[in-house]
Amino acid sequence: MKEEFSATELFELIPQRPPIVMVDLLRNVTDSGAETGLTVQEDNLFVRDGQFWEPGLIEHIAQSAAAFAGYKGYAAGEKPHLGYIGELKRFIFYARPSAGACLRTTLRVLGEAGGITLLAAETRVGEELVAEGQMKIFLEA
Amino acid sequence: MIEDFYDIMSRREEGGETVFHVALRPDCKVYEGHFPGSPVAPGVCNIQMIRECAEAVAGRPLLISKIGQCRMTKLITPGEFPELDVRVTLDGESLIASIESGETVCLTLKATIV
Repeated sequence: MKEEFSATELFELIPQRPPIVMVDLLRNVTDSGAETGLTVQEDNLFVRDGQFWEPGLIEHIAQSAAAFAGYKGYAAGEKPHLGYIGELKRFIFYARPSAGACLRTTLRVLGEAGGITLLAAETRVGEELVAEGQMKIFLEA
Repeated sequence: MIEDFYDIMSRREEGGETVFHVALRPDCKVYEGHFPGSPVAPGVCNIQMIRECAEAVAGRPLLISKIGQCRMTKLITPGEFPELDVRVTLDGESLIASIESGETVCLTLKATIV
């Protein structure tokens, strides 16, 4: 089993396609979490005036969760399932990353039941925490 | 920000709430990737649409600093929901909003803005 996925290799794991792909790295996957990343390109859909806006951070975290879920499916020989955000909770945005920034996100599974996964995420640029929050994701069977 | 995602058809005031009637554009390029052959409005584009409506009410750019809760109770597809109401209430730093179609509530948002 491959241990690190980057760029278009992630298309094996997530159903999203350009122009709305907001994750370009997945690694350190365990049962309870993973690390993901995104290098924010200048032409990213969510970049305005050289800054990566909050919806982009949310979508990055959502697709990080999709990649994590996809990894488990991939290990079982399945195609990526469509996943939807059901709920966001306690999201705090501390800073808007600049275009060119390299985001790193740690995902932690807080709970799982019947196709619903509750995750906590923290996104950093270098050492700086830029966003954190909790997210419920629904995966289609 | 997301070009051609929606058009504002009308705007009205309803007891402290501002209601934007919007039409989703089914040809928005975001649907090419979300998802191929199965267009679903990305939740974050819906949040962005709310922010832009709130900016129109506030008359200035707004930064979302916190989302206390955002529930997405119904998937929004441009096929099923070609037109929607975006309801926005701004009170100081508080933004309360929802996206609805008739009796159906698709999304509710409680956020802090600066």
